[in-house]
Amino acid sequence: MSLDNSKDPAGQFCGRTRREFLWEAGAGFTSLALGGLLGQNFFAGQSLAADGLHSYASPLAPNPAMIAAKAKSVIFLFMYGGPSHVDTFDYKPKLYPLDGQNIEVKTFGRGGHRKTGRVVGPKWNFKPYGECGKYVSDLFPNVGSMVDDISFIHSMTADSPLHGSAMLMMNSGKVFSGAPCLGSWANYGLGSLNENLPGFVVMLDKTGGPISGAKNWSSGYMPAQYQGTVLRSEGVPILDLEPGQLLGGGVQRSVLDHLRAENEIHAAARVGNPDLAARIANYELAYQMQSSAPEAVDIDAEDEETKSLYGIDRGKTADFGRKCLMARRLVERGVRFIQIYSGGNHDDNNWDAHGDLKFNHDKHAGATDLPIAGLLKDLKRRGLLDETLVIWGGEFGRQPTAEYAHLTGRDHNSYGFTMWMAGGGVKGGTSIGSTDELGAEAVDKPLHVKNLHATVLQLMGLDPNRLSFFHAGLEEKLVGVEGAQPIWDAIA
Amino acid sequence: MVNRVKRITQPAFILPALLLVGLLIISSTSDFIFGNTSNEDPMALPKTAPPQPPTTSSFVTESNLDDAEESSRNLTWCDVPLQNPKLRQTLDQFWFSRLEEKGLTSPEEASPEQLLRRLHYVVTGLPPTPEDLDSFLKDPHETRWNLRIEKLLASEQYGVHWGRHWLDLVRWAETDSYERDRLKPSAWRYRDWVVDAFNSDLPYDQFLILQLAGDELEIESLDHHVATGFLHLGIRNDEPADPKQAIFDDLDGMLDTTCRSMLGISMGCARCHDHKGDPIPTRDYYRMLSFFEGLKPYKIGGGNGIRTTNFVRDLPLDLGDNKFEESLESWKREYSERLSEISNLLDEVSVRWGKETLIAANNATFKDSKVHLDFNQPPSKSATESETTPNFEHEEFDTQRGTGKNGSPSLSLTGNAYVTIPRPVQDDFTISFWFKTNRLGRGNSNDLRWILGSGLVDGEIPGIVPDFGISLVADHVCAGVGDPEVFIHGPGQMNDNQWHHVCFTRSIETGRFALWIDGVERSSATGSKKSLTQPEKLSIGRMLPGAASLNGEMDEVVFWDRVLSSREIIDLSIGGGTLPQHVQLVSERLGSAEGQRMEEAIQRLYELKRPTRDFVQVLSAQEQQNIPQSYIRIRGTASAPGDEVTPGFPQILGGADASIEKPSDGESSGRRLALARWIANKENPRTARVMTNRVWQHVFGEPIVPTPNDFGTFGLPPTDAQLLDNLALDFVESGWSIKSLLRSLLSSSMFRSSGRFHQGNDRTDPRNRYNWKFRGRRLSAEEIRDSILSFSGDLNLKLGGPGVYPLLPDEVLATASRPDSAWGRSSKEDSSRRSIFIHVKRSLLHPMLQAFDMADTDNPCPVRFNTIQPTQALTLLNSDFSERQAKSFADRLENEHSNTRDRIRACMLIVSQKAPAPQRVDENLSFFENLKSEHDLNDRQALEIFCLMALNLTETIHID
Repeated sequence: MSLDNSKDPAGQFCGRTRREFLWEAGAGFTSLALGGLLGQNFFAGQSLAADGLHSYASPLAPNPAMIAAKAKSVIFLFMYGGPSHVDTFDYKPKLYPLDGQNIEVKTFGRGGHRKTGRVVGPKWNFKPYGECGKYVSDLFPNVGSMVDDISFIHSMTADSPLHGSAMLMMNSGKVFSGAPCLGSWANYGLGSLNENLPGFVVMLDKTGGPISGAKNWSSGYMPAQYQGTVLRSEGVPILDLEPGQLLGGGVQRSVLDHLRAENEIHAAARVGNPDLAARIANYELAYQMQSSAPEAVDIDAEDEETKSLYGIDRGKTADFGRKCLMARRLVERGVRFIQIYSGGNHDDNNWDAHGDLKFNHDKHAGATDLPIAGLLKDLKRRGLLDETLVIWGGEFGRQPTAEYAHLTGRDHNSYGFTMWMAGGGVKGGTSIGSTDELGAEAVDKPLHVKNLHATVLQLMGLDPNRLSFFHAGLEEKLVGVEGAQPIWDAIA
Repeated sequence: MVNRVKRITQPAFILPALLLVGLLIISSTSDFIFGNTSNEDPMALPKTAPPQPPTTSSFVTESNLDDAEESSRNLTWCDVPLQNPKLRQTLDQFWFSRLEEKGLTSPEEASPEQLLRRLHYVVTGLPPTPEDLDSFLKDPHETRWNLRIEKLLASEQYGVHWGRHWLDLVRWAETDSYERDRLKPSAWRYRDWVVDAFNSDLPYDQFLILQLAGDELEIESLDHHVATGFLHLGIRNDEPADPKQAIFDDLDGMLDTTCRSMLGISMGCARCHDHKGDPIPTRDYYRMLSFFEGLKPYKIGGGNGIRTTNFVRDLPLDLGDNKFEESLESWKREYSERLSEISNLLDEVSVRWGKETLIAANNATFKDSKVHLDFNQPPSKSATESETTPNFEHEEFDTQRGTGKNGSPSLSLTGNAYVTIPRPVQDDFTISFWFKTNRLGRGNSNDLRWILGSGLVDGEIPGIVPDFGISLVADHVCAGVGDPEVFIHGPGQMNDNQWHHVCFTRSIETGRFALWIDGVERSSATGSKKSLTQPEKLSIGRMLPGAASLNGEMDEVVFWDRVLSSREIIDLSIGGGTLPQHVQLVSERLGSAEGQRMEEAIQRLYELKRPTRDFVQVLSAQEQQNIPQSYIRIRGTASAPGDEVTPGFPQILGGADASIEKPSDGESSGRRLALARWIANKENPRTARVMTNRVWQHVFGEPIVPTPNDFGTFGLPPTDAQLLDNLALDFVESGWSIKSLLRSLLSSSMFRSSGRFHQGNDRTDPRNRYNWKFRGRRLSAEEIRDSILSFSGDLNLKLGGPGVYPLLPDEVLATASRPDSAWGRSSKEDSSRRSIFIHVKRSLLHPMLQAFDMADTDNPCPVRFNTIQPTQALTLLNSDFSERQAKSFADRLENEHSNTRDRIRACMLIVSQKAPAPQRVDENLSFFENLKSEHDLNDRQALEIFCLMALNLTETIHID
């Protein structure tokens, strides 16, 4: 037998087989932060990895991109619950007059497979915006003003119209839990630009996390460095970031200095164990994070005009606005992947409008339209939009028909829905693919969540069909073993 | 364009992985089995052995290797049977000869303190206490090492630690993941079974058989069923888009976990693809999968329900022990003898003085009843009067007459009929009635809250208010008062179409309520002590809210406003004959001697306790009666069946068809047992090697085969195949005793060697390929938390039981979709139990354990990651847990030592299990004093901070 099962020249790396390299290169794992942080003499004599050949590399240190990168960071605005595309960005003029009529339409949602349904006409009017003349509903007038920077993907499809598996799919590409999320892949592939901050940050709704909680930002089978860190928009931003009662008031620095002295004595007696030095460095990294993380999310440092741009001066939009502004500050500081949830918990606390569509979407669009537009504008005027990819969307869309006999609520729809992207190398003012005239199903250029993920990796400079993680005998990829193409039409 | 291959691996593999480059080069150019490895090379992989006598083994053996050309092409070292070498060597012989050959200097022995710490952590995952250390150091005998090994292996904390290693492999967790992340009922019993199995040194082959097919064994025991919980530990989508696919995903999880944990094979990729050159073709995958296809699916159809009855059941604690049946039989015999003694006497009275003589006595109990419904009158919606219910109103809807217990009419209910009566009782009361049915009530036996059943007698009002009721939940009579969470129930199988007597009593003063079934008190509890003044009407045969009605017969529904005596209740259940009035009658008519005899018979009747047995809920294997035909599923799609397949083994392991015998109890197919016996077979070339490698891994820090779940093509070759094979043979020959294998590793010189750096050795063997130094390691997540608890003395070593819920920070709870109900609450004592007992909820993991690389809950985890990340420092420095434990540690030091120096010294000793040098104590003391003066602290404050510092020392969380 041969372990060199890769005949592809691409499988060769530095004269070794692909798998050899995989195992070997893993040596970098236990040595976080050594390179940059502690170039002191103490390590000078030991700055080789356990193999005695390679120098240490932080697994989160920046890696060269595989291909030309357009986006350095991603802000994923996750509309949890599934916003209705036909009421937001997918204009369906023929749907209005059908309101209340029973028609034949194939749907699959929480209520199972159906062949007919009562149409709920869109509850908002659409009008054209920007140079491209894109029709946007009255739910998003502010986002409407930015359409020339946005690429709308109207023909999205997903494998599941049910929250549990659909959330996992949108975040990790799989309907099973246990796989790493998009943010994990980005950090795994590219490393962090700022070791003093987590590279994958998640901001949740005040009402609670999405269903399946931390599974939505889990690193799955990858190590814990790559899992999302929950960042709070008020109070101490990260769990256990601040010293408690015992280490407050400067005591912590004294303790850290002593710890370091003690740990160095310990390490000095154990020559040849690089882990020990890395652990010492790790305390300094944590210490730096204590000052850099609060600074990064300190929106009080921003001027009033900026805050107002994000709607922070208005009750309805203040919370999401804060998070969007924090996201911009994080991007400026090199955080790779930021996910902000609009909606949490259950029922009408998120976009899952099964009952009263008007109430639900007015609430959630009302809280997010201004902040999202503010974010895009602010990124743009600071020259950050070019290198920041902003993604908007939920785990699926909603059906053109009503779920119940007498209400306006719509059931889930994974046969066709809309997501949009802006900045980060995206071709603005474009609309890609389409659903049928009811918005029930993607008909023109149907695209899968995997294509969206492939686009994100591609824009970040990672080859979606090459970026892999060796796990349980398989070269796992975000886009699955069969691979997926990026949405080339969306890329500038 | 730059081609990027991502760096990655489980870091614990790194060193051996690096060592292996040489081997890889060999392996990529030569055939592993028949290759040109020379006899002189001690690291050579085993050569083919001399021919053996013909065998009927289903495995590839030397004798059938030639026939199995198809198989042999892909055969790797680990698929060749274990061969008994001419020279069996001990571990130390192997080790020393390797060192010698390579010109490496043998390491000295580690210090006694290092050794003791190493040993305690490796065996139990806990640090030695100062007393453990003291007794070890003071023992002058050479035997002290082996004695300590024995002591630790005998400690039940051994099973806790080693059980956790196994739980990593089977992705043990207590919830299903996905939207509702439902609790897996009683998953903790499986965890406890694993811990017990290690503690009792259950032979490893048995250990595997029980998990795959404990239910299919001839000998029945509860443990055998609990072990099959193994099959139900995976993630389960409660609301899948494609339910059929979801069932196959679930089966895939079982197969994949079985193959990875027990055989070191990843079958996953063969589910969809059949690549040329892959050792596992798709057909092999589906043949293996069919061993599991007899299991009942975890869900049926769409929606978000899970069919728990397909994998959870109530089983008696003493299952398999026929003592219960025997004692029940003897009870029945005695009981009926006493009864007939009584009834004979009464019959005699009846025969000689006429039936009427008895009626007065029989009705004695009914005399003070508030309501007596005998249903002898025709149905009526208006007020009725009868002899036994004077001036009492009741309404009936759609009820019919049936034939009652004594041939008189009964109330017949067909699922939507019922009777209401004005509520006759509210404080003390007794409700007695008879019922029979051949149908299950609403609900299922996993949740026996009375409000979920079909109504028998119901006084329920919505909300948490003092109401009460009796219902039939599935096949159990259930009852409760007040809080719906306080409920009691009788035995199952009440749907046997026989008349059963039910009696429910309630006392307002004590709040006690009790449920009697057929004259035996089955259960009692304490509920509300309030007067039950609502609702105004009671419903008979139906629940008020939800309207779930009984489908069956009811008769003789009687209410009293007092708690009946047990004698009265038994009297009701046997249809009269045990009351003082009966005795009096017999004495008067048959003479006092007969009266005396009857009184004695009655007394004995009361004294006879019906034997009871406790039932517990278990996650267990249950098979369907008709197993569907197995097919290859094209591209892994459940709804795309390809060729038919039958249960059989992978080609690389012989490829035989399974020989399946259906177990005699007829409850299952025997498929899983066939698989289990094939795996747990000493001729299976992988089983012993895979486990031996794991035991080695947890003792020496790194496995011999660096990819413990992937032996063969998908993994890396062993660093020393001969050594692994020797140990694996020993393991099998010891009767698959893990403790015995551990003994041989722990007592070796190699285990006792120092981890000290050696310049010369490092130059020759920089990767420590030949183990010239012991590999130190960071403690695992559980070891860190458990150690911190033990330093303060707070650690609670109690074993077993449902998971505990240590306090989680609000920030963590806020990540759940229902933050308020996401996590439970445990007492301080329970919160201080070892980490293995913390409830494992897939969507809400313990943040500290997560920070220190706990096992992924959704995939089998063969080797923990060993990351270094700021979250770890932040957790140990700033978490509430660290702070609480630092304070508690300071309490201990203050209690045990009177001056600061001693406290500092003790703190250092406790965390490192080594007496600190005086100079080191001085240095730390001066840190302590500086801390006080610089920050204006008192002794106590500074001591707490010092303790917190000590928890963060590298020395505390590293072993040498």
